[in-house]
Amino acid sequence: MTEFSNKQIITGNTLLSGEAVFLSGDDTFGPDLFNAQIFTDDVSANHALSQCIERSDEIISPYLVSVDVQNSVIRPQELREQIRTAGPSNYFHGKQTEIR
Amino acid sequence: MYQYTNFDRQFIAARNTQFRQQVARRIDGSLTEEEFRPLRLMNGVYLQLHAYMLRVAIPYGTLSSAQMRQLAIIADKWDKGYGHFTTRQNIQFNWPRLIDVPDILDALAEVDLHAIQTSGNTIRNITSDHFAGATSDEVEDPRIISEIIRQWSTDHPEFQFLPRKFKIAVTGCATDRAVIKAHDIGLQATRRDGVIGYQVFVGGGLGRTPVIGKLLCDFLPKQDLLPYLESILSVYNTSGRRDNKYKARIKILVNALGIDNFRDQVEARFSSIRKTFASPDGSFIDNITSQFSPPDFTDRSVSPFEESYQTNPMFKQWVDRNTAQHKHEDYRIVTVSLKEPGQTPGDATSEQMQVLADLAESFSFDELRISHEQNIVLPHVHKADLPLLYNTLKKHRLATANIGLISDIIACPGMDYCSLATARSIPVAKEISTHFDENNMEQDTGEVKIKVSGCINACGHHHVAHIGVLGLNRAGVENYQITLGGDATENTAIGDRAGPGFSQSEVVPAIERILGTYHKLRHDAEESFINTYKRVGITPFKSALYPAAKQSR
Repeated sequence: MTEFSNKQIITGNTLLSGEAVFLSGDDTFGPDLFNAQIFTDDVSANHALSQCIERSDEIISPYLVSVDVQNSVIRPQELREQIRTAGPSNYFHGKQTEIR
Repeated sequence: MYQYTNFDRQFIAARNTQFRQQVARRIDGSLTEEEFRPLRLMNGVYLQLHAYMLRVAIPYGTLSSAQMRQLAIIADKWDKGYGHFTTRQNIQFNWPRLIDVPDILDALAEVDLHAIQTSGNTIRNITSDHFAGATSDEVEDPRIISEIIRQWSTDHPEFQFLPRKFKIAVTGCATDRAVIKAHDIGLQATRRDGVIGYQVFVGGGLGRTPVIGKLLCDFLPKQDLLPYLESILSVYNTSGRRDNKYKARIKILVNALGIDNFRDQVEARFSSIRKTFASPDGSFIDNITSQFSPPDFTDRSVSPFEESYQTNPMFKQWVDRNTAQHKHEDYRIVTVSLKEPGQTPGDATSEQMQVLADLAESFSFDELRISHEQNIVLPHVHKADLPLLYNTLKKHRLATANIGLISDIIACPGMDYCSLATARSIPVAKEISTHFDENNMEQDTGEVKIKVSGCINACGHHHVAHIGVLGLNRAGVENYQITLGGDATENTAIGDRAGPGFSQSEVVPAIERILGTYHKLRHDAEESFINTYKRVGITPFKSALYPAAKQSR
């Protein structure tokens, strides 16, 4: 069952490796989507995003991504973001190899 | 092959040192991302969906064995064990870390390779005929002027910040394997009264506004080549639009001015700079020319080839499909397919790169070529060596006999990697190749060029495909438009859009209906898909693609 109806997370790529990462509740960026902090209103999401933009020594071009959450599983709504969170579909590369 | 001079090496080393410092300054916070981004792009470093991507230039598609080996080593050491050969004869590594890129660039410099001007609004890698120096119908080896243009355009101070990127392609013969009329400038060597000069085409391009290049100059003498190119770039640099990136390519300027007006402006500029332009002198050109001298072909018996050709049907099929006539009758040009059905078009593993390097060293005078169709060419293979070459390729899944057939698909990386893409290309290409291979339709269908792009930017060249597939995003869902009748040869044509797009699962059935229509309508097996299409037009293909629309009329 869907727990929220209008949810967003913050994502970006790390400066050093370029890896796609997600802002978590402890204010750190990490590679695991399931740790991502879910924002349920635009005001708090945009406020957090503006703070992330200041962290350009760590994260490149952070932005908001709309997600669905079902049974605590986070899933981006757009295919592009689903691919970013999993890895390419032609090889077993990227995050899909590290899903814990 | 051209050998780097001390000047070339010093330039690359200086650029690599500079970029290493720029990376360090970005990491220590001295440079912001906004400041750093154009610097990394000038050195071929993009940020894609999963990681950085490094695009390495392969000048006019020519590689030595040592260079190919180094690419394999880089793939293993700093990437995930493979590289992706692109439609502009480059190689892309999809997973490098920014902190490793300076070391990768140093490793490339060890074999005279670099990533300079593989991005940004500047003159990109010069592309050329992948059969250069081997084909029998050549007026001149196009790599000679490609190298001269490379030297002129690399770090050209005036042309580092053009309105938009700028692509030049060169062919040395009337047969066009370099898609020259789909480039900002296309050059074709030609001979007039025994003298070699160049036809110059301008304003071609694919992308969101596909245009076929227009003839700007019918015969440009060799000594005028660089000042004339400089004049074209100068007019573009001055008058090309900078207010709208979608209208900034030279094709838009040429269309706005009209080709005659544009030519007048180029000629005026040419008149003013010609006398003072420091054109390369005869000895310089002779030196470059000598570096592309034909190798010392040997006279040996071809009987090992003839025996295998008569007795091994798989070998015969591969020879007939993947090798082409060489200017020396005892040699063949070998195209190694990177399109095994079900695999990613243009990808080669590090192991395959090493094998290809070894084979080039043993059998092709140490030379390899990368084709814009994302295959690898061994340009000079003696027929006697073909059986052993074939058997080695087979062991490494490199002997797919499909050049020019359905499964020899061009595909851009698409949304599996590219941050600009609107749909995936690779899975579509894989499904098409797997389906028609399993149904044994390829050989009977003959030559069909299928090209898949994952967005309107058309890196997959779908506009000039016999059957083009363009992936778009329609309300959050991948949707694929089909174009028909494009042509990437000297008969360049932009394909006609067939109609509404298809979902991903509908693409293979749609292509099946197109090919079924071709089989019904062709005079005989000798009439190719594109010739049948040109004879009958799009209507029967549209009827097959959209049967419901036909019934409702």
